[in-house]
Amino acid sequence: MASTNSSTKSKSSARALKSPHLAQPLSPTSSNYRLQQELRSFLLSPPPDLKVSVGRNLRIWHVKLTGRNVYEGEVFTLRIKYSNTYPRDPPSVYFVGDNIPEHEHVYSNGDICLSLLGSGWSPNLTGQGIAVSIQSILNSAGRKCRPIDNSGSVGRKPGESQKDWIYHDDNC
Amino acid sequence: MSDSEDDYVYDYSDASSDEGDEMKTSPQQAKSPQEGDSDDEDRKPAAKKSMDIRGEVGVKTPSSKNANANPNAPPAHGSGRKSYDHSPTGSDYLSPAKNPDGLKLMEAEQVREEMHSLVCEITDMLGISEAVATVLMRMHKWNKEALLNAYMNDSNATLSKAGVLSKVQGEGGGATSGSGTGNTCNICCDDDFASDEMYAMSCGHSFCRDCWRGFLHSKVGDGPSCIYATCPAAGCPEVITEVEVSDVSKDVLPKFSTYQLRSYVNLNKLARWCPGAGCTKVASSKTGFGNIKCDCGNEFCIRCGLEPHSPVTCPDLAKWEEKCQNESETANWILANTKKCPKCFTRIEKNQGCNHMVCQQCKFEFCWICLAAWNEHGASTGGYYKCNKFASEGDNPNDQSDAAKAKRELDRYLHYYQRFHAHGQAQKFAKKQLAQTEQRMVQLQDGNSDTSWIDVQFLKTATEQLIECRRVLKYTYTFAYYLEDKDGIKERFEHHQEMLEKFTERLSELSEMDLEKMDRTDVVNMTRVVDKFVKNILKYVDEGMDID
Repeated sequence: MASTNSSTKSKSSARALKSPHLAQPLSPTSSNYRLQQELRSFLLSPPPDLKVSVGRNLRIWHVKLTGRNVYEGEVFTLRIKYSNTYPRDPPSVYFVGDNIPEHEHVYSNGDICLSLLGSGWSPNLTGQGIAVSIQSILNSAGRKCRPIDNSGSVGRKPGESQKDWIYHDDNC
Repeated sequence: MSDSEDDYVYDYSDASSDEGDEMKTSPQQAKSPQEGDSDDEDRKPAAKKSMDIRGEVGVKTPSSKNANANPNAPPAHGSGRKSYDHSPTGSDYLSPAKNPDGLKLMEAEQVREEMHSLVCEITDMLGISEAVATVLMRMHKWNKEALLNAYMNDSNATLSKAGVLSKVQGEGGGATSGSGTGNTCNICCDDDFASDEMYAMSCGHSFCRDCWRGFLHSKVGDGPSCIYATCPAAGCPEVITEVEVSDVSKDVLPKFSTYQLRSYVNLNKLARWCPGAGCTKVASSKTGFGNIKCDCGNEFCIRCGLEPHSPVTCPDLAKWEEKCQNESETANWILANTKKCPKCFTRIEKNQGCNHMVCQQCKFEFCWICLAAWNEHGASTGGYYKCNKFASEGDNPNDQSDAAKAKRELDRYLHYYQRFHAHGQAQKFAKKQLAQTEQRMVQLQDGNSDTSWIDVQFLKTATEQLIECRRVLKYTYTFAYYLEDKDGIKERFEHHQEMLEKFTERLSELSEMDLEKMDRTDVVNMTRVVDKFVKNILKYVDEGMDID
């Protein structure tokens, strides 16, 4: 039992380390150093139902999120973009793809109303932490519905700075 | 009227220069702890209370000569206060004691000292650091009693609510202890920091100094709200103070302290930054009321920061400003483009055509110029495009329909707004005139060889008086709009207003006259007369309009 466990672990870590972004350890002075660390930890021990993939740009992540409860069986994609001022400023995070979850804090353009992405951001939060928070607000939802002011988001570009946002609900 | 006129000969400009002197001669006044005391007691200016407190202040601050000179305000003034208890009504023009509101101007540096002395009282009393005391006081809006009450009630709750709990109970921040090397910073993820490269507040969340610096720069860059910034660790409520800023990033400390000082004045109901552009002075008053003239030339009401507006109260003025903002454009347009049908009083816009109008409502045919029936018109009155008859307007006050009421209300508003606006324009004009007055004074002096510079000062005094009159007149219309008519007070008020208006126009005429024709004695006399009328109308309002 124990041996299988360790073997799967080493297998996944081996796969994770295949990622071209982790091939070469960056020096701590590099501006991508923290992101590489974050990505390594995400790939090595991904939280349940979350899977990260990174293209050529280390600063843009796509996280596949498998829904539970009211979203059972649905898969959503989160796009996380880290600006040059990250981690001083929060990353820009929104849902992409055809399937935008129907949730009272998720606008139909993909924007997510979450204080952690605006006034509640702290520099010691991580991309993975944000993804887990979003997963938890989805899975704790009792019903599917759009935000009351959703109509305002139609045609709005998602992922803009949430500096001036007012958050309706402090529980999320 | 004539009796009281002489009692209140009191020059406003004198008062402001007096304040200047007071400020220079007794700067310790700003720091005196007693004053801190009294400031705290009447911080909530329930105005009825402010009457009693004024007496107290007189006892507590012997340096304040004004309060001392008249510890018990005479009953007349007191009753005026009571009936207009939320009003800064012309007190500085009218009060027998020269400065009952304890008005003074302070430099930012003096305010800093005042703030510091308040903080020091708290540090002595509670045995906490200055930084913590500052945060606590700020959270209680600089009201010492409120803070002490809360603190005595539940010190831990008070501290944690303010975000300084671990600063008081923790072991102190600074460079973190721990192993010499190999410390990890959770922001940049580097894990090879020596312990002296790390920094933490007493909450214990340590980050490298570089990340701290970046964090503070970003917070201070966000603006005045930076004084409420908390620890970079998510969810940690520990508030950042001047101590951390000066430990980590001294370069943004001046900005941080300035924001702190700004918030001190903004939270303080008894003080206000001078709204003048680029001016950094602070005006304060013991009662929270009063008008003050800053050294930069800006005159303002301490309570609302707008230009002095007696006899109108601050709340009424705010209502009026909002109303005018919503309606002034409409009002202007209505006044400029419409007239009322002389028969049914519907407002009609004439956008083209001749003067022969047919009302769409009542089919009355009339002349646009004189508003008389069209059948009285013809070639003899000037034809279709001219009219030499006189205008007349009437209204039926007995019509009780909603439309009629709404129309009457609109007309009432337009009546006051029109005059308010006209005096406002005239005030602006007079201000422009003041700028040219000096030139005129030089001309006047040159015209007559034995005239000295002092002899031509009357021209400046007259223009300044004119500006003040226009300002007061302007606000008398706002006041009258909100004035409820009972026992004929409105009529009496309007009588005062009319007199002031009449003589102001006269003064305006005299002071704008050609220099060759100008008679100095006339101007000087008229300035004095008008001054008395201004004081009269303000005194009339201040004394409760004869109700008592």
